[in-house]
Amino acid sequence: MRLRFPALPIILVSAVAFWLSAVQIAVAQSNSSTDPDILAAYVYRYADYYLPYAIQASTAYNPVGTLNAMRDAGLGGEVDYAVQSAIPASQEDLRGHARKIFKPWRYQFGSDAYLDCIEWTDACKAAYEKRGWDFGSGPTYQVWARTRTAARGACSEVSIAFRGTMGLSGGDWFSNFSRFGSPYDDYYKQLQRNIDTIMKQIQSLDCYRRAGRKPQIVSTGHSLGAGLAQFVALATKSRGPRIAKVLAFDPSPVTGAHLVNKALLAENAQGLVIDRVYESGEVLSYARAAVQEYPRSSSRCNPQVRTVEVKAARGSAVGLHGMELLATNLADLTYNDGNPLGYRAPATQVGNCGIIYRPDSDEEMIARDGNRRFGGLGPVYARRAGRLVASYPVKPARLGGNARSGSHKQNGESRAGVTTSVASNAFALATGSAFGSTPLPR
Amino acid sequence: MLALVAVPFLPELVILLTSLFAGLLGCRPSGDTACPFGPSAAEIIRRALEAAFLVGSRFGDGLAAIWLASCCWLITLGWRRLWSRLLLAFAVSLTCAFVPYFGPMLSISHLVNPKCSPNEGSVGDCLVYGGDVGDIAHAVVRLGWRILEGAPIAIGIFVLYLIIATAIELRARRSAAPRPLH
Repeated sequence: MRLRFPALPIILVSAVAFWLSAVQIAVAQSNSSTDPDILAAYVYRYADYYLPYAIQASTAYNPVGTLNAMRDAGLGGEVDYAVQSAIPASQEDLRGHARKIFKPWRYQFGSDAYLDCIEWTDACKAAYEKRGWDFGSGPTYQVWARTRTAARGACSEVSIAFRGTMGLSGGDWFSNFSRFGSPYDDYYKQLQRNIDTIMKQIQSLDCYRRAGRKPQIVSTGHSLGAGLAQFVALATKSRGPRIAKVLAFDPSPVTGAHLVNKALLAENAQGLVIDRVYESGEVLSYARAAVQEYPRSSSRCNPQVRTVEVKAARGSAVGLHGMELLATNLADLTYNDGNPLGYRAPATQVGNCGIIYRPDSDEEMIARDGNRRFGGLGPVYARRAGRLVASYPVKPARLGGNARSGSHKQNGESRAGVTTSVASNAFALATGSAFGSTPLPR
Repeated sequence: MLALVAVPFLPELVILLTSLFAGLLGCRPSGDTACPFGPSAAEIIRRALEAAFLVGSRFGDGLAAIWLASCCWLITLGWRRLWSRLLLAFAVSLTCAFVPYFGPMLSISHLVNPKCSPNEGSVGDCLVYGGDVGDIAHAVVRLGWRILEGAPIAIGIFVLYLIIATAIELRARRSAAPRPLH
């Protein structure tokens, strides 16, 4: 039977459409295991992880001198000060929660002056002599260290927090618009000639030298600060430790990658993770979509760029860009009626991408009050919903209406006190459980 | 014409005048006591900043295109020479590209003091003349980012006007040229 003329194209078009849809579904399915992004609906699971860095990014807007004075006093007053900077006074309950989470962190040093050369090496001197016009202002950064509970005086992670834009500062705004280069000695250029010295200063920190396992170094910041945080991770030249992870909040589309030579860029991008955390619809989300500098948000490996969308506020694009808002929302998402939700670090192994960052194993042992959490108590195992989960018996005074139990698995390896896992870093929340249990160790 | 250009920036003028009067009354931006005239200097500045923020936001949303087109229309009506028209249109476009987004920030830059450091993170309070200006002082810093939308609008309208004004000029010259006699 001979097909009538119009039938053939219809059949062909249908076949092509079917094939295309099948391919798209297959691609989507295969991407689900290689896609590191965190959608807004699941952010609450990771809010606890991001909160300390959000607090640091907020505190970076405060004068370094104040933090220096608190550090010198040695009373740990910087923890309260940082939390008060990040979360408004009207949210006193959230401040209390955030204080517990941020307690292990201590301020080390920082700068808010113009950076000529912190150390007058030949390389820095040569770069400084070729500098452009300057506004007399420099990038503000504050270095924080997470103290280990197991070994007092040692730290497990060091974080460099960069400040975002302040008022009508010419240096800040010219750095914001240096997407394609500028004749000014902007903050990216100032950091480029000084980042190796800053890394050396970190390595000479007392807590860094005391650590048995060398602490990893991360960078963080808000807006312009997030751009600078990404830049230092891409521009570090020293043969020493590299920045393992960047936690960029509402980041600027400018990363300064155009200033870094390609070989160094490729070297530093190896195994690097960049988490871009932002409030949905904030003003720079559109700018990033249009003029994002290297690395693009679609970069899945070397560097692995993870987009973390927080959708916890409504408002204008400009209104949603605040760091205080983002930090407060992250603190709010960390708790359910005052009960802490489970700590969960974003997956470290996505696809076959090798990364140098590892969520701090010490985290598991640090309780929210900064002490070893129920180290002497053995876990109680029970089977719930067809899977084995661990819970920790506690004193009756600490029992709440909500009990949490779960498991922790990382890169296929079980962690201490954990039995089985249905997903990496998964914790199951059992409300109204018959077992007396508390949140699992962080 | 001047009125049309100046109207969107009245809030900034109010802030500058308020500061001027406050200074004349002996008030200092970092002072602890409220500076009394009208409701209070801080209250006037807060309200004016809110208005300036609204103007900047709407300009970024596209009002800039309508405002600039109106200015160009007035320029065409009021000036005859092409270069005058283009120079004026360029000046107005430049104003439109920057001032709605950076003007509010510029107008409070002289009020920055240890109790008020406007920043895009919304971190800290903003107390001037003994009163709280509130989060709007921080919001106007973030408004600066809207230049990414506003500047292309202004440049686009100017380029469009450049083409139209040149075409009108060429057409006028052609029609004014004496026709050859047969």
